[in-house]
Amino acid sequence: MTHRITRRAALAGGLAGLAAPGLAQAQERPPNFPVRPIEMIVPYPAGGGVDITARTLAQEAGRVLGHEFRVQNRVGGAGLVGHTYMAKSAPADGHSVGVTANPFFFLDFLTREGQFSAEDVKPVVGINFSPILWVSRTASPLGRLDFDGVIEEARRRPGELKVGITPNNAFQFVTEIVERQKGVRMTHVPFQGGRPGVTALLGGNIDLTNCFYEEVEPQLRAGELKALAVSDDRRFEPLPDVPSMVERGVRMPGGVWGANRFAIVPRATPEPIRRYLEAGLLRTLRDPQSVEAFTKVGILLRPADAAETERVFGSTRETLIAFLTETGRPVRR
Amino acid sequence: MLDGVLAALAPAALAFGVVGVVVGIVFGAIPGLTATLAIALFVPVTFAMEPANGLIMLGGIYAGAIFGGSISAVLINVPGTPASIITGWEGHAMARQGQAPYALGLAAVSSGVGGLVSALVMLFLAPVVARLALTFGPAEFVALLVFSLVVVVVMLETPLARNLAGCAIGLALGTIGLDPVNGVPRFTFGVADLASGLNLVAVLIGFFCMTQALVLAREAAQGARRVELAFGGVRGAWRVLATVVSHFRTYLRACSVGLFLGVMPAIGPESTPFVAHAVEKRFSREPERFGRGSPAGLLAAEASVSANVGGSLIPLLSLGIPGSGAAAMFIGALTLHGLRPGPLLFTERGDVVYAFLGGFVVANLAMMLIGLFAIRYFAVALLVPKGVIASFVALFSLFGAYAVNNSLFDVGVMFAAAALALALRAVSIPILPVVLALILGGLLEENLVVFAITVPTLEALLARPIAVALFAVTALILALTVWRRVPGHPRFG
Repeated sequence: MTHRITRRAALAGGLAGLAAPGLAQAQERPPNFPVRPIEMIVPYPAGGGVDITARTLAQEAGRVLGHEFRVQNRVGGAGLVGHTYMAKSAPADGHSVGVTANPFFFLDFLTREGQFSAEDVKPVVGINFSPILWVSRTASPLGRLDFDGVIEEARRRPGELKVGITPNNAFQFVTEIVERQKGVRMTHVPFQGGRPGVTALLGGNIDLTNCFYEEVEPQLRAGELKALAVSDDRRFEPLPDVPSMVERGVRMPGGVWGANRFAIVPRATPEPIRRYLEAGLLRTLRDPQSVEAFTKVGILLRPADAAETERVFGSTRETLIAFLTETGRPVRR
Repeated sequence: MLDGVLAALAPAALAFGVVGVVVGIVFGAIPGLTATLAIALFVPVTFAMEPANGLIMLGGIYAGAIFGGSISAVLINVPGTPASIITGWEGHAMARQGQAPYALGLAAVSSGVGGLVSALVMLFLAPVVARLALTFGPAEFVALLVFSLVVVVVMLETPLARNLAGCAIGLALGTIGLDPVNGVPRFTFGVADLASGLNLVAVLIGFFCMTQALVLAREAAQGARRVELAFGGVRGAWRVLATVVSHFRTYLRACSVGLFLGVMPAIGPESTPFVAHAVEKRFSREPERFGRGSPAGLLAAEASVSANVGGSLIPLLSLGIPGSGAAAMFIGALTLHGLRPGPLLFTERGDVVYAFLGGFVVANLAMMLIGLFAIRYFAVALLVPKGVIASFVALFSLFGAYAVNNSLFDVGVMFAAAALALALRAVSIPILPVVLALILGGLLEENLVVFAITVPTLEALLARPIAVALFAVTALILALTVWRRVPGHPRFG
């Protein structure tokens, strides 16, 4: 199973690579496109990380490309409704561009009820990567400890440390990866997202929590919360003093366990239109004024073209399937 | 602080505040267009504005939308937002007695009072009150949610067993969707649209708006008589004002309940009027009038909702924790303006925050003025033939259910909910406990799970005095009610 998918992913990456040279030239605007505002479909509620990314992108792309982009939130099932819409029913004419994030998109069909697969969409651009952060409360007994200290504490008191997670999702998976490799056990406290976990941590009801940088930036700056590590193979630019988990001896591939945000279109979208969108959005993401606009809302861009994004899709999928199989979770498709 | 508040009095800021209130009232009055949706739609509009002005407008929209729902609720018993269900119950009863202009005026002024109180608390006590949000852990939350459910169940006049049955139905409906412990779908039967559970707004539109369209249609078919309206001119304004002043204590209680529930993370304005209304009934000297057009009941419901609005912004601005769904929208709005809600916001961007708070005061003052002098004339809507109103309500119910998430599935949910409401009416199970249980059910389950994990033993629970006290009060209320309601004792209610 794993083997076949690896080959398919490699093939997809190769094909996308062949298409890449075309991108070097400026993409012509296809005739009759766009004929109306381009909808950016966000499967998460307004005000969240993906939504803010999409809204900033819509505003900046509108300025750079000179036609209107609109954000539409299609919310439900923690992303499932919007993802299903993008994969199965959005019009494939380039006027519907999905902005979402992995591993959440893939997990919807790998572990949940999503009746679609990665083959139903095509990547347009990669936008950024935000690793998962482990944070503790400065004023708590754990507040003095660094990542290794916390692991030591967890080893000394098996099952006693309470860590905030989102059930059966990336936050819990990262926690399990650390636990398995470090041979420790903590109590998982389920929350419906990063913010409720942060609230519980601030109130002293749990010992540490998983979250994204955007969710705790003010508290980190105020010194109320302390970042212990980021789930990546390198440090996270806004937090240069916080070690990566790989640095602290946790084996994990870079750029997978976090929010890997990207734009997609339905598979049947005509290739010239998809390429025009790719070139246009890439130009936006590299525009100095746009970079500044993203920085203002706390988003550090990591732009990637479609070929590179397709390659990351492949490795993400491989990593997820390997992890799910290893931990005895059924993989649906 | 003064500079900021003065900035809110600049002509542009004033204009944006008032525009926000008016936009909010329009959105609120239409079923399905909620405060959250109005804010989401207007966030992009604020891009081009100064951050302070943009936020003032959004604050006005929030306050206006929460009140706007009451207009249709009072006039035709169609709550425009989930927060105006109780207002509809009480206010429409007044409207049926020919008091529609008076009820509208009271609702608007009370809304303004509640908002004003919460704005003043925000201005002067935000950092203190915000800490309250953090002292409420999962144990206290569970205790508070159980208290809310129990207090409403026992205060309704319908038989206790039926209220409990309604409560159970609501809790059961709330279990549809992703299970908060394992994150796996539950009772979804493979339907992706059910994975997020039943859409609350769609269900409530089905419960209250679509069914009311049928009621209005029936009345129209039976040839209902025309209503007589007494606007009362300036004397009408005096009457409203006199009622407001004489109910000082009601406001005190309602605003406290509203503020408190608003500060609590994740408890939105929807459930607040239920609790405030039930509490007020307990304190009232004429509890028998509650639910039959009691001004005190109306005041309590409206003031508490508005106080909840300000309350929900307190932990948002000072801790970065939203107190409701609509307040969560403000995180997005603030972030897009380059402001990060959190512990440093007041010190780093005090200018914007205080201008916003000043604007919030202005918006609520505007609402009171509208309430005293203008809102009564909305009652002319009652002169429109009932058949026409019924068709419009049905149309807006369809449109509103679709608009929440651009989902046709939600329209189906709305129709199913309407059918369920009619079925429940047929077997005399009251709808209000169903609604409250549905609103609070998910939150209760989420907190119950965390409660069970973080407070594993009885000793651990005893270390949390607030939770223990709340549980004790709940048990006491329950015991008292059961004792008073058993046959042989005078009926309580």
